[in-house]
Amino acid sequence: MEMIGQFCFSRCRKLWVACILLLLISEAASARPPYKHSLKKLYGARLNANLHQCATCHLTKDEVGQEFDEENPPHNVFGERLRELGDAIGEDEPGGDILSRLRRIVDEDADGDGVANELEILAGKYPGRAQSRPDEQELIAARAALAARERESTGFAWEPFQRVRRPGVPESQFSGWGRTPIDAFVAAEYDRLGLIPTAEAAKHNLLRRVYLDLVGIPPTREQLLEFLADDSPMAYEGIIERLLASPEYGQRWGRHWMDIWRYSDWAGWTGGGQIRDSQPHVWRWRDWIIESLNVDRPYDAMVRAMLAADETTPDEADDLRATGYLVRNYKMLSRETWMQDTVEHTCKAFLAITMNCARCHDHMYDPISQAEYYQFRAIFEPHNVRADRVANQADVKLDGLARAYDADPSVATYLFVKGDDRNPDKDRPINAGVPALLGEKLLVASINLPVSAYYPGIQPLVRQQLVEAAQQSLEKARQDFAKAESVATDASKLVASENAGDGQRGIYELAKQGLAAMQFALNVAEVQVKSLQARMAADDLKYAAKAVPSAEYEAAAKNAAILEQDAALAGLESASRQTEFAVAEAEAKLRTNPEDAGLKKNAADAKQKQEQAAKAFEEAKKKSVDAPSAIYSPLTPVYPQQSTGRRSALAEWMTSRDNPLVARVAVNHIWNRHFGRGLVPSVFDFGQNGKPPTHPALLDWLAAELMEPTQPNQLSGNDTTGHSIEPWSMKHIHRLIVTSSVYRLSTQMDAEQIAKDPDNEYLTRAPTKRMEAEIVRDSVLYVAGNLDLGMGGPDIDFDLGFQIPRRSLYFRHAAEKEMTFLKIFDAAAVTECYQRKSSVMPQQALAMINSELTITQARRLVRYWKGEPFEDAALYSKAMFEHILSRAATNDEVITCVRFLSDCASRPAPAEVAASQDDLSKPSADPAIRAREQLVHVLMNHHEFVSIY
Amino acid sequence: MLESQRPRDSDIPLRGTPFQKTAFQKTRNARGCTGVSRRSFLTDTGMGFTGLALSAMLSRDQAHAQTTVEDFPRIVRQPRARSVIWIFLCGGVSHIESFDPKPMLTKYDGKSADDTPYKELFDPQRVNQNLVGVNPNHHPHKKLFGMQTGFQRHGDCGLAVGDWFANTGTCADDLAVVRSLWTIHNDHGTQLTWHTGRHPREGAFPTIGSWVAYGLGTMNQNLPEYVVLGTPTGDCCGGEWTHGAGYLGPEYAGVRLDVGDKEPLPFVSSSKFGVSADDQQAEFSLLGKLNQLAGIEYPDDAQLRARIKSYELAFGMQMAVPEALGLQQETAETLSLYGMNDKVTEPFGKLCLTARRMVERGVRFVQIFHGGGGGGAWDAHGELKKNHSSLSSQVDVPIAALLKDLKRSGLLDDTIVVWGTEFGRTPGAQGADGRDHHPNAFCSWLAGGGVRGGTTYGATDELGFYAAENPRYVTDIHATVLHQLGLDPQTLDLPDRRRLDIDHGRPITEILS
Repeated sequence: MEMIGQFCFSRCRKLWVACILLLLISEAASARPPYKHSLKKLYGARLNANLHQCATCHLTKDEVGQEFDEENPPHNVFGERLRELGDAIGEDEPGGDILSRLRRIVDEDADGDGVANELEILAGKYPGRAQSRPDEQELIAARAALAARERESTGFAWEPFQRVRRPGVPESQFSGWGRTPIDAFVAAEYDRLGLIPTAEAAKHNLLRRVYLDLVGIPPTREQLLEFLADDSPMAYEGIIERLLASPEYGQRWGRHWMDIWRYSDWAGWTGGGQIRDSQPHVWRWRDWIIESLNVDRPYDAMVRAMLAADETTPDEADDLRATGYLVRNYKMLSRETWMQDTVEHTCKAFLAITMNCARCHDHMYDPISQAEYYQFRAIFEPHNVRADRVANQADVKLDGLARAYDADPSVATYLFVKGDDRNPDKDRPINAGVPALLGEKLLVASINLPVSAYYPGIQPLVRQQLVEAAQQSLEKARQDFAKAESVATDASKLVASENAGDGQRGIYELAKQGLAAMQFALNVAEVQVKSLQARMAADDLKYAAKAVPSAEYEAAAKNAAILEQDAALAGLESASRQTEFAVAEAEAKLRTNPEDAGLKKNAADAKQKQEQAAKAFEEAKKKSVDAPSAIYSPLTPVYPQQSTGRRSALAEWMTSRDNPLVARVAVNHIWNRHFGRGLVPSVFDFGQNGKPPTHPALLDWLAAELMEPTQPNQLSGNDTTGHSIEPWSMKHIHRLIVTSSVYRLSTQMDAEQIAKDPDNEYLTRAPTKRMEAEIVRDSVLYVAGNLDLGMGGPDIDFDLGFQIPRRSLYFRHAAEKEMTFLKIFDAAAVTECYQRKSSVMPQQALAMINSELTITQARRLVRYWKGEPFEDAALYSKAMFEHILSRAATNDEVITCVRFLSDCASRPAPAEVAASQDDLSKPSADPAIRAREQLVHVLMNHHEFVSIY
Repeated sequence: MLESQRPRDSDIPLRGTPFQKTAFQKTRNARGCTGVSRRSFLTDTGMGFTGLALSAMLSRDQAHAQTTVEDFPRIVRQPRARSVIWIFLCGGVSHIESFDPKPMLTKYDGKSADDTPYKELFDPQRVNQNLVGVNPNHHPHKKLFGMQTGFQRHGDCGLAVGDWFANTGTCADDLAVVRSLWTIHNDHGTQLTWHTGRHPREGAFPTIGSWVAYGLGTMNQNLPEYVVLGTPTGDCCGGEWTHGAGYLGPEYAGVRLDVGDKEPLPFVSSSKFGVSADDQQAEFSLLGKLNQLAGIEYPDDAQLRARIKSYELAFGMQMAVPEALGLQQETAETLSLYGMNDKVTEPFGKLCLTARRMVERGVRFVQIFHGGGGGGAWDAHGELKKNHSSLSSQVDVPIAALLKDLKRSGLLDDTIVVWGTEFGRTPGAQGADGRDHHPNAFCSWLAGGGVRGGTTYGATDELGFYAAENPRYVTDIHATVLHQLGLDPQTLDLPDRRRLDIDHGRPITEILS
């Protein structure tokens, strides 16, 4: 049965596998691993392996005999009791899920052997077999295990799919220790488990920690010294307030959210015209994220904008950037994958449910049906991506606003049988919806878009660009004409002279023809301007507020249609004339060398083109007479006038106070990125298959506090009402976290205490973290005084990471387009990065010791040092410790460094030295400076540089 | 807690001192109950860079010194092999003209399949039944196309091999040919499938090389356990994913080494920035001292220990990588064996010889790409004869040389060599003289490491159209390799990342001795 369990799990994966599996293994019974899993869930490591199998609830072949049906083995009494309960409550009703049912019958005695189910389970005996019964010794052990289990239970039910209710803040013996309600929740766990938190971190550690955490760059030496000298009680809080207000906060946390929302620049080849993933210009979404964080735009508003700004604020180009969240999922090679990714990651990032598991069959662990998967997909089915024009660039290939919109409101969604997109169940179209498990319904109402949203041609910006382009063409045609005119005049003078021969006459004829051709071109440009004006005039009437069919519009439209046709005809005529001129030119050339094969061919080709052009013109002309055009073409594509409203309905549903998950998931992400581990460690899965939270009450309290803030901002001083904090303020949550006592703990603790909480699940100390890839690079540049903190702009070529000192998040990051240095330090995986990795690899050591980045920046730091000069080697070493590692050096360290400096300075000069101070590619020619460059380079490689204590 | 540590950072002995427990092992073991005293941190991690014995690091032939299974905790059974050389020919080598000759095709050359007994093989439903996301531009062509080269029987086993691979044929008694492979898709994205088992549109998953690296760990502290040689697959067809590690993480990804004139590994040297060897040695030495001093403040810090270790490895790699690539140390006879004196065979000969040197030094998985970039060089939609005869002349001599060289040095006993491609080519003619993509049947061979030489397993039908007998999916090759390495393909996984049955594959035990 174990094999079958695995097989069924397999089925919950990608659809295409199904067919192979069918080949490999014959169809097996639909065993329900979640049932087994539930026992494991309840009892964890205490569950005896014997009980982690089918026989716990089912009769075995031995018990049944020949008629045993392997595909559908009958229940034993314990299993039967569970089934009965399921039938009575309804498996999909609250309390009907297998875990709840198990909990309900723990004190019953299914097999009537005198021992309650739970005690039997803890003793490793079958609760459904009377002959399997613990002896006295086993019973004593089981009772002890039961008591231990009860002690461990926090008494706070973790019900992630129920509406968030704010738990009371607990009392604790650590009340004096704590500063915020967060601490009270954490301390309650200390009390319960007999844990003692470690001491508070040293001031220098705390300062560096909070700088890197909030803004992603270390404090300068001056900031460090100032803080160390500041004994005022609110010194730390003051720094937090300043950091949260600085633009670098948005850059730092923007990158975190970009991980979670799967930011990706375009992948593919712009040269070859193949954009495979995401879209060019999606960087505007990145900038929107950063700007939003900096103004503390509420989280719910951000979610709404990302999912549906095109429906909620269709006129606001700035907001539309947010839909880059959807644009990012674009996949040239497969709309199917595109849709799958959109569903999977919207559910993981905002709701922490693994909806993707329900694509081929009902979810194995959570009550989500396969139909619900497709209901969720239907929300996104109509949408597509497009690029709108932006100021200063008419060509959307070069720059534009990458955005989402509903391209096909009528497209149907079907359930794919077994998840196979080749096999849609066309009898049952699926309506947009959300999983019933999470409560409430999707309230969809279609949305009438303003004209400017569905017809960009009406926007003043676009019109201006079109008019300017037409005017420029006209101006150019005028200049070309004037040039041709002067050529013709000169040629006429030649002919007029007495010596004029055939040659001169030929030139004159040609010039006249050229002038005539230019006259046509000029005419085209003029007509095009008029045509454009006429089309805009007709547009004005067509799209005016409360427009009704009118004679005036009819006339304008007809005029526009005629002028447009005239312009087209003039264009064809002009083209025909230009080819005539080309023929004349080619023939004139041929006359100079009649036997030249190349010239002959050119002339023949020109003639052929001329004939084609003439024919095209004549045909068009005839058509214009026979069937004059009655409609004019729009200035830009016209998109659907209505949007389905499904995505804005989803956004409303998600950000409602009643949604059980969105706030919980958001605060868990924030917590995770502060502490390196979420309160729910499986940050994208709050379901049965995820990991339960260590501090469920704290998580719920934080979720409530995000939606309905109650805690005053103690940092702003003058506010005592506590009402000024906006709901869904993320800065509020950051403040609560980083001012808490638990955040301020040291990373170090007695081994004895560590042994009580070895994995730091209960936050008895602060985690030691490694800088993320971007922070490593940014910090190297920053301590060298070279980091460009500028905001925003197009993605920078990822190969220029050592040449351009912008912050790392501004460099192109997409499949196949990643900076090697960042990649080595576990940069965000482009496809999915809910949790950063922080490996330790020799390639990182090579990158730090040998890369151009650290070597040149170390030299820059030394050569362009603006602080005190520190002639003394010991003082210099101390200063560099403070500057680069944000701490004072110990005596041993100073001695070691001083010796190194003197040893280095006395070594022979290397073969090549820098010709000037600016030449960072070589070490300094001055032995003393060279030694300092090496010292600084070593400090950049110091373990504590990339580590956060 | 946060940092994942690669196995090489763990307690596996340094080469040359296989049984001596290192300082790191002691500290690790001591940790957990009592922690490490400040004094012991200093002494235990006190190896430093000056203490590294360079001669030991650079000495050859010791990587295969005996190591015990206990050193490698994921090994579950007695390994038959320690290393893998994985040769991948990009673009789709014709099985018909390589290791699965089909004389029947020659008999019906130029005939439409409709006029032969094989008409029903071309039923589109049957053709596509195992394929997902079929690219309609590629399909079987009905006009049958005879073999474009002759074939000979080789060795005691009488293995039939196309003449373009006659040199490899001389090693027939060491080869186990699998003639009944199939894959999931009919375009070059299956280059990725060959390495991960997944459909190309699923994206990045751990490759066989990364599983080996993850499962085994290193035998040489100064070299990566997973090395990639040659030009890998193009961006269209898996790109970096064919030598990546997916969710196993970058520490298990293949490390590309450039055997040409360029830097063999990113950031392997700082000499171009004017940093002399002496200066660098001094820097490493100072860094070692300062990090140890930091250990006084942070005595229980696993990350600090891992960092110190990673710098020691990096220091070693700076020398070990160029040393391992130093082909000039080889004898003239060996160089000639690999075809290094012939312009045609030299580029691939270099890769094969480097692979042997890597394996010799304890690298676990060496992946050699041939014809990478774009759809792949072997993609003979037209002029198959010209294409395959020319490309095979680049690889046939070096591959045979590799097998012979490994065998004579005894390395073949514990090294598995795998030869593969993404799919076969159609029995029918594409245009006048080419063959199209053929995912329904293709072949591969394995040699060494406990593989039973002189075997063929599975068979195609008379046209080479379908894997008719014992069809096997690509991950069965993975499972076979993992099995021989002492790993269990069924249980090798990462907590929280369950794998599909199709990922695991089943070892082809019939070709094992």
